[in-house]
Amino acid sequence: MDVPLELGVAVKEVLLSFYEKKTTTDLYKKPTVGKGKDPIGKDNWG
Amino acid sequence: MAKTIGDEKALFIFNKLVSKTSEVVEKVNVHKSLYYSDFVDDQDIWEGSVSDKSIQEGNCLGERMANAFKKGFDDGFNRIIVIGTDLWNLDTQIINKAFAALKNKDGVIGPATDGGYYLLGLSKWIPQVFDGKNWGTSSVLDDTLTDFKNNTLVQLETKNDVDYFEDLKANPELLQLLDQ
Repeated sequence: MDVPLELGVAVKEVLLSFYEKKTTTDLYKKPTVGKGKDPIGKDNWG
Repeated sequence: MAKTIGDEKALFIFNKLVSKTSEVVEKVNVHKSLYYSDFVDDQDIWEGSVSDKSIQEGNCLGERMANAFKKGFDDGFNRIIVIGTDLWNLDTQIINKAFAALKNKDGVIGPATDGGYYLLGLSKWIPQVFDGKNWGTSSVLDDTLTDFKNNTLVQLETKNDVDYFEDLKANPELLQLLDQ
């Protein structure tokens, strides 16, 4: 990983990936939320 | 989605989205932290794609993202971006573009067509963007944009994340995989 230098100062960047591991059992148990449908993820961001 | 196409196919689509996200993340040349919802899996497809793995902490999505951003800033990171694993059209260009935007802006956001967002980035700690949201509803994007009214923000192109069967129609390549 390269750390970029800007005006001689090292800038640290990080990418966060939010992940919810699933099985078919998780999908079966999932309650209906949001707009009255069943999303893949219980933490749909909108 | 599971209600429309069944559990097995819904899980198949979900895993395709995760796999695609992992491939894209691997190519991004920054530090990469994977935050699991429940437990850390040391032997999954993310091995080799990310720098470290952690568990999300908090009672709602807002709290969990806030804690992850806070930790990032506390650890000395200057620019932090979060993504999910439900975007088929994710690519390295959009992530690099988001990091570039944070060079001279306080925030960057990738709007989703359903009224949420697929990407959020900050170059400084702005706690209100994680508070008071009705997560999982179409008000999340507008409410978050309001939180940036006293800060500078770049909006990326709108993309369609994949939550429902209807979303597959906007991603024909993904839809075709169901028939293979």
